[in-house]
Amino acid sequence: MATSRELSDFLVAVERRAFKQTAYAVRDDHAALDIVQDAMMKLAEKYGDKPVAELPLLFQRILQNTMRDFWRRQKVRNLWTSLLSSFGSSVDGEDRDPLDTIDVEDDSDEPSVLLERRQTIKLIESALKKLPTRQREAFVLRYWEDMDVAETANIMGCSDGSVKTHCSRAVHALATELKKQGLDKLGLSRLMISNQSSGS
Amino acid sequence: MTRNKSINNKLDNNHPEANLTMDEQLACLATDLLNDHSQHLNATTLQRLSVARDLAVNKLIARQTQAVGINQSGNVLHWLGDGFNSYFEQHRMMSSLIIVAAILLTFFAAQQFNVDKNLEHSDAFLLAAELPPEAFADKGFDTWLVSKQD
Repeated sequence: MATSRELSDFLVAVERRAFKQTAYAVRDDHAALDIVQDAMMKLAEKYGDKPVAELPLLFQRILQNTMRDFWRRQKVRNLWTSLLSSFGSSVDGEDRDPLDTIDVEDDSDEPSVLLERRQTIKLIESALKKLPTRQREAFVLRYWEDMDVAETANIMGCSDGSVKTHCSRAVHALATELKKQGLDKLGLSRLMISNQSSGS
Repeated sequence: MTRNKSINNKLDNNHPEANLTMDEQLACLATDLLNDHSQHLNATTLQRLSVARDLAVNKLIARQTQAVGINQSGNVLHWLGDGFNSYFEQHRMMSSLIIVAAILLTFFAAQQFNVDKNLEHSDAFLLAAELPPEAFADKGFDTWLVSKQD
């Protein structure tokens, strides 16, 4: 059984990745935060008695299911919104502090390197968002979460063969898109090395 | 950054999993960059994540406290041992059916017992009555009695 400390440590380790992955999937940061929070609550509520080793797989599964629930609700909501949109316009009158929404970047690098890295990440994010949902799911779980084929298949609820197919297509599409934008292995390696040296 | 190490190991030519294609290597590097980027979120997002985490941890603590309360108060199944207890927890539907069946059996058994008791009373009544017992078994007796009263 996971203790509260172990659960907290686990969530600290995965929450940022989970948020970014969800944000790429739903393309809305606020919705992504809600989804991650829901997933965390469900994990604590339903699977708090499970050993810590099982938490990553369970959390990913819950996260994927919560995303699907969000899409289902969104579909229904969009229908009503499109029907009622002609009756009024929505005005977002909230005051936002621009300092709150500025990404925290390392200030140890030169501006040119920071700019290049930022642009590269934008390109990668854009390429990732262009992938079909199932391909993106498979890619994120296999390459970002470092899960094996069987674990990915378990989370996605499909066969090992389907996971391999989705991954292969996703990797090919992503690489093609990145190459089209002028990004190759050397360029990405250079950015990684500069990133690691600035981090250390 | 254990994740970075694992990816770098995969990209290392001496590693057994190094037979990645160029596309896969590019994908690994891209996810590495995304992973690094995900560590630099804005303050609002980090605060929201922290609140969400605290809520989840508090939920777990509340759940565990509740579970300890139940265990301390104990139930009848604990007297039968942990094996029985865990069985009944895992097969709640089956347990409910067993309990319902037991209640029904008890009800029918009690009814049967009451019938025997009534029979005893009726025997005593027949023996103590002024009429002979055969009179109660004779279907024409009631008719004869009514005709006699008229």
